Amino acid sequence: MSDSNTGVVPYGSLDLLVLKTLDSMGSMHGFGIARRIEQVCEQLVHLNQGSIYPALLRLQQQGWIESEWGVSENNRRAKFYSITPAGQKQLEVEVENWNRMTSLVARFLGETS
Amino acid sequence: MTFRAWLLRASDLLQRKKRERELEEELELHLEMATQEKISQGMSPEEARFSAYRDFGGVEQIKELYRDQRGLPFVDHLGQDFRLALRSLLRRPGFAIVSMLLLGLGIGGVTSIFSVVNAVLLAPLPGVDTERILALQAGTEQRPVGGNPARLKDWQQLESFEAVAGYYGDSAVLLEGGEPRKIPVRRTFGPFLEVAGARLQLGRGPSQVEGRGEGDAVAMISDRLWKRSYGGSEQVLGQSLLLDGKSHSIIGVLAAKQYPKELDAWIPAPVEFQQADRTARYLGIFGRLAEGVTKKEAQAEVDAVAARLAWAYPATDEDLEVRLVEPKTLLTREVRTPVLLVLLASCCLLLLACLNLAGLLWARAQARQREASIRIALGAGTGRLARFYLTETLLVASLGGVAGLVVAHLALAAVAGAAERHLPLLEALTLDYRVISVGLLAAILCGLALGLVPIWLASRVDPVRGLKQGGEGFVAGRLRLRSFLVSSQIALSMVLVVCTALLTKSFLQMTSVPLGFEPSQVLSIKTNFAWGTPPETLYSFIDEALTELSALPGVRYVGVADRLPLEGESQRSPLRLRDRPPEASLEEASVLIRSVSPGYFSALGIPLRAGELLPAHRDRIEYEGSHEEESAGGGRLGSPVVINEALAQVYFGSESPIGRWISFPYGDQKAPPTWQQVVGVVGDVRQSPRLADSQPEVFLAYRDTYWPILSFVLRTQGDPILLAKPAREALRRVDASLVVSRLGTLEHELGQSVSNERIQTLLMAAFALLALILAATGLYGLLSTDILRRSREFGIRLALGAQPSDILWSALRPALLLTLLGGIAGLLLSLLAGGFLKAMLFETSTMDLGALLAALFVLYAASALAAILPARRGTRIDPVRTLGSD
Repeated sequence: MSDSNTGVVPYGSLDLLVLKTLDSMGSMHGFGIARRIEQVCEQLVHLNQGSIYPALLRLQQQGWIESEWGVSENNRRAKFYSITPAGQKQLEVEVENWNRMTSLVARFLGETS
Repeated sequence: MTFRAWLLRASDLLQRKKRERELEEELELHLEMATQEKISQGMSPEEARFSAYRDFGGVEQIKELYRDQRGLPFVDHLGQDFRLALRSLLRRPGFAIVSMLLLGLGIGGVTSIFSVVNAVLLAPLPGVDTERILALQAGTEQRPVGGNPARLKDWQQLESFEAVAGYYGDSAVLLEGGEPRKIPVRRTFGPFLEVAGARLQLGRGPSQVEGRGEGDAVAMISDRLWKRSYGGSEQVLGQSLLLDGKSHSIIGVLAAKQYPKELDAWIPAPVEFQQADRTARYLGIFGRLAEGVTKKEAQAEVDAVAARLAWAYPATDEDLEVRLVEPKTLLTREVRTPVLLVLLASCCLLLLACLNLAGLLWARAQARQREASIRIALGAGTGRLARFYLTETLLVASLGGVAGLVVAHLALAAVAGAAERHLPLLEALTLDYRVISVGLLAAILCGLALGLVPIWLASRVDPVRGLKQGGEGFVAGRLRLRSFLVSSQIALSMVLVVCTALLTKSFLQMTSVPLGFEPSQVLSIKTNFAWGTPPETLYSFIDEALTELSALPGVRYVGVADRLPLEGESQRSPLRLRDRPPEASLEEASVLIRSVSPGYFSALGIPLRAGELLPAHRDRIEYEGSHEEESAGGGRLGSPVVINEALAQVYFGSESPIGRWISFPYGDQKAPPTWQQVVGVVGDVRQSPRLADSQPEVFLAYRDTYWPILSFVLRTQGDPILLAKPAREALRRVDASLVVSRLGTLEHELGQSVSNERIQTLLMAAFALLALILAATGLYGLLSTDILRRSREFGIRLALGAQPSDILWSALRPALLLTLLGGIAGLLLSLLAGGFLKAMLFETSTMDLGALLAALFVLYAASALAAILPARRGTRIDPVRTLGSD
């Protein structure tokens, strides 16, 4: 149940959020990534936690992250994801794109409003 | 998608189960951790779990999204469609079995016939490196002429060729365990191993000197002879091979793969043959093109040299014309058209089977319109439906293809056995990659073409109508497509029926032209001596054999000739008249020459039209002061000859030929002539099954020619076959080492001379029959549907007082119309096929009215048979029931 002032994660930005999370936090499992994104966004956006799994798979197929089976905090077999060098490069590109995009939109809105 | 992503997705596909388990595990852990976190924050376990699920989103949707991201969705769908198609086929196994049979037989037929085409026309000659070999064929395409050793030496100077060699086929008698056995051999001239690219598995080829026939006699033997007579031992080299009583030293053994397969020995020709002059015509000549030289360039050089030879040797080489021909073309000249025709017929039959199956698919799709309507109403796109149908037909076609290959595999031995006597090069018959790919290609094409039918129908499904109307009423869909399918089937079968009718007519023509002799009660015995046998040995054998044979009880007349009637030609020469120069129109012409004994005419019952037969004298007739008698044209005088009526007509017209002098210059037009007197004229005899009219022919006494191939003919009192054994023994008494190559009644031998034509006709008839059956079942199916559709109409008409005959007529009318349309289309198509058939027809036009009418009649009879059953059902409709059912 989302409040009126929380939106859903913008399309296409989930990949960026996941990459950024793995870049700053190191190796994590799916639940950890989901929780981390939720915490950082502080309830500003509503995330369907499950939707990060297809995103994780997509990123793996691109070669930007890799996964490895390990042991979780509660001693269960869990899949840990970490960013690859290619992923770090991609992250830089996407961050730059994102900055350019937001500044463009901000300027546009600033001028017309 | 990047390549890497493709690769990962494809690998996911292979480990689907494992990946699914891992996903399950990962999501389960996620939910558990979320629940625990919420419990630790103070929620009750149920509440925590519920909240975790809510935060997660729909688990199944996420899984589905995940699955779409993983693997290759279209492959998944394909698998789904495939399983669905398999289930739906198994639900109605009747359709599956019928379609597999239809396609299996159709594809199997095409594949087996193609395996023959592959072996006979496409595959290289076994054991011969055919890539750059060309035959140097003198003469015209219709009348090729052999070469000679003198000219071979000229060809060996050609720069376009690496090597040029010649050969003639011969047979030799080999004594094996005291039993004489005739083996086929080749007498070679020049570097034949190099030209053929043939490999020796043991020993060496002949040296230069041995190759010229000088020095010791040497031989190379076949792998077969080596294994049979020498146990495959290497000690064979240097051993002596006794052929025709002459010792040859064995110097080599050829590789097991050889061409022609029946040959047992290759022997450099004797020196006297190698020095024969330019009048000789007994050599087959082949050359190996030099590296990088094209056929066209080689032909240009050959033409230039031929022109020079014509200028240098006008007497023998004036009209010399030499074509370069691929050996395969030369070997398969006769069979190419019939073999391709049969392939075409089998393709026709496969097409017919497909059309027939398309009709079945149509009916099946109609019956499934309701199912299709429901699927579409439930949201299946037409595209998805079409894909499912295509998968289904492709599955049917693949099954058909596999069945076809099985059929072809099983038929291979049968085809080889049946065609062995009629086709060369069948030893190469296998299901190689080429044949198998043709079979599979045929199956795929069938599947794609067949898939069009249900797709076409699927694109037209109207779900509202499909759901509103129930069962039978719905059959009232279109019949147009199906009518088109049926008339196409009729058209195709008409083509095959027309071909059969024309071939039958041609065969009847061929066998009904008068023979000009009396073939019953005649025994024929064939034997031959090696070329090079001294003439005196040959002549005295013939004289003694004739004496021995005529002494047998039950023999009325005995004769001998170089060949039997209907066996084509052997010797041929231009003809000169002593008392006047040749007419311009006959300048280039030549006449057939047949060596005979005087008894030949009576033994075969050939009538004497004028004069007398050849004198029975055994020795050359000496004319008074003959030898150097000066006459109008100069030259000397020879023994008398008999001519046939055709020769009398062409050369003498209304004048009497009796007592006139003629001569035969053979290859040398400038040599002094030997004049021979015409003493008699005999009736014309069929010379070749493919010619209705007799060509001018002259009969010479055996002693006036040299031709060591003999056919004895014995006219008997009773059944000729009873004399087979005594006759064979009589010949053995004359020559203990004699081998009889063929022995049988003349009627049987004549049957052999048209056996190719007979088998072609029968094969085509079998194809036509199958085609008719298929087309008839197609028509039957269509008509049954049509009658069902119109049962209301018929019911009303019957209730209003229509006669059953009216109903019958109107039920039959569509069948008659379709047959007419199909028949006309078939006739037009067979005009196309006619061009192809033309070369095979004897005295029969491709537009032969009788044959075309007969074909039309057969077609109508077949469709009437197919139509009458459903049509009669139409007349028995019970108006009360039909009208009450709505």
